Amino acid sequence: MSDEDDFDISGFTPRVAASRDPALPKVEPSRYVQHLTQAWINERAAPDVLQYEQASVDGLLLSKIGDQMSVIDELDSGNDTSMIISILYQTELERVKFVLRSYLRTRISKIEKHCEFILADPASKRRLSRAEIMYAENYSRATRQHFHSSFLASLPSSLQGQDDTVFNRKLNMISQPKLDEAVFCRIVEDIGDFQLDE
Amino acid sequence: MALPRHLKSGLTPLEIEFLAENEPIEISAAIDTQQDLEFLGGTVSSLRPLQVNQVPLWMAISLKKKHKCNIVVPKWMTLESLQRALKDEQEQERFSALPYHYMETAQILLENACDDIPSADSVRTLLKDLREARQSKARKGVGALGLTYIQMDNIGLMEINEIRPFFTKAFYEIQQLKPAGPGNDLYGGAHGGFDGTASIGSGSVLGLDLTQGSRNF
Repeated sequence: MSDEDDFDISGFTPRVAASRDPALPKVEPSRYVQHLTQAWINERAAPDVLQYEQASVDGLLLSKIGDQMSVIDELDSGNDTSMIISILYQTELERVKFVLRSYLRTRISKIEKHCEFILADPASKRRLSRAEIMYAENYSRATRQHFHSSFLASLPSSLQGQDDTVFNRKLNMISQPKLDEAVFCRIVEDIGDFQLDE
Repeated sequence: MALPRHLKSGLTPLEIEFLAENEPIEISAAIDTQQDLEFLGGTVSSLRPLQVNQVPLWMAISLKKKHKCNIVVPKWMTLESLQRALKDEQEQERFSALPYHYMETAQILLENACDDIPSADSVRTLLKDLREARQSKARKGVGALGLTYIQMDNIGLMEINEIRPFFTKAFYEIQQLKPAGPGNDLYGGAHGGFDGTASIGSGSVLGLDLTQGSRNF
């Protein structure tokens, strides 16, 4: 389980998303765990894939996790207090890793669900990391091939399409995220009166 | 599957409890760490015996289980504050002011640090009463659902999560019942006017349900 996740995100240099989207707010180093946690909550509640948190995941968190693991290794295990500190460090490490894993898995599940849509839609595609784009492309190829070889090949060629639309594009084979659902927002700051659009 | 089915419809109660464990709480430790603790999520200054420190809840529970600390009960969770909150809750229409994670925090503390809570049994009963009063308020909120938004101050995350599936669904249906304009007609010419005419009568909700199911086809 963790091996897969590690594979997906390792070996990629950071900075890409930050330069691609200049509006991306800079995260203070001490806040990136909180930032990742919030990103995880948002990702879980949103119908479509959100902007990948490149800066906090690839740039900082992975190297920090490595550092923290060596700190734990160096703690003196003979000493009672060190033992407790070591347990606390490990607990926190596991908690952070859990959030990171769940974050990435949530994104992958959305990528699988709306794969064709995301690949065709530049705005969605921009929000993926490079590893995720690679994954989406491979996934798309694999499923198309599978559907074709398992049953589509024996149908008449007019029925073999996997991205047909009917009724003026109102009914579509490609599943899209439902963006018109209601959401809950938590207000963090009072900015005075604000009128919501309908 | 990348994400198990039961995790797909938002956060689970267990995950919300996990989030609540990041909240700070005061403890008086029984160990001397002699150093600041450098966590990934921030630094916790060194623990000393008989000194009150602020630490994340998960850390307090972890120490508590090893009998290495006593937890200082948060101010809102004392008998007097809860009695006041319950009175507020019953007298006023809005939700009384409790922390965002009050339900989870209380649950975790009652489970793991019962001996640190004075008159824990009464606290437990009060919390149960509070919860019931608030739950019925949240349900009444359905009546206030309109076309744009509904505002609920002081509601907790766990409470939001309880009403989320129903509220989002209900909100979506209300949106669908709006007379069909050029922008929200799902089927274009082929089924023209279906949404518009469906907005009258009690059978309409069912009718919309069916179309919604077949939309993913």
